[in-house]
Amino acid sequence: MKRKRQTYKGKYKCKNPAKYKGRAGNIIYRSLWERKFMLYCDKVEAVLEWSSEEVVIPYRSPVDTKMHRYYPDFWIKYINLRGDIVEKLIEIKPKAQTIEPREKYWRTWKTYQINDAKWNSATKYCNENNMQFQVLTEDHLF
Amino acid sequence: MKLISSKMFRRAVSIADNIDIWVSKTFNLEPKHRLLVMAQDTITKRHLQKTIGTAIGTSNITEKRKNNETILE
Repeated sequence: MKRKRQTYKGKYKCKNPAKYKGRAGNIIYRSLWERKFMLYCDKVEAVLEWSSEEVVIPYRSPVDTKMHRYYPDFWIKYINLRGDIVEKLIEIKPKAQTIEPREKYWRTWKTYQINDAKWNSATKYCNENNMQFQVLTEDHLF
Repeated sequence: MKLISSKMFRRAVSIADNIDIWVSKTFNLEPKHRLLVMAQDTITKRHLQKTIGTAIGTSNITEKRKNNETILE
């Protein structure tokens, strides 16, 4: 029997719906790390606006060489340390998936290559739209 | 001092997980998930600012306000 991977997926109840750009009643988290980031966006005053999986970026997958759509986890508009208003795209991923795998097992290699292609197109998109792109791992969240 | 050995800890975790699986199968509830969500809801703004805030580089408005209030007092 194939073992199912345990993930904590659910709907996030927004406490400040005015801050959310998009449908505040339909915010879905795919992990508790994502939920923690949602909690941060919702609670902290420095975050002016935010949305989850609302931005769409096209990218070419290196595995099948076809065009696909990438939905970055979060878009946030916040006040930075200098006091400027900045827009950022945030991706939340386990650290293991952000580092190039040593052993070239097909699945890990494929995941890394796809992520890399997604993030390259996201960085390009951000540069064109005066935004920044950042990948957050467990090191940043805890 | 080591209060609990790693083997005992693993056993306790697996028992808790088995209970969680049984409850979710029989009653269609997710007790572990709910507990984790409840625990996450108790996280303070200060902790969030310390971890995610520093990683992103957001300004600490609440802390600044508090400092200003104390100066004015």
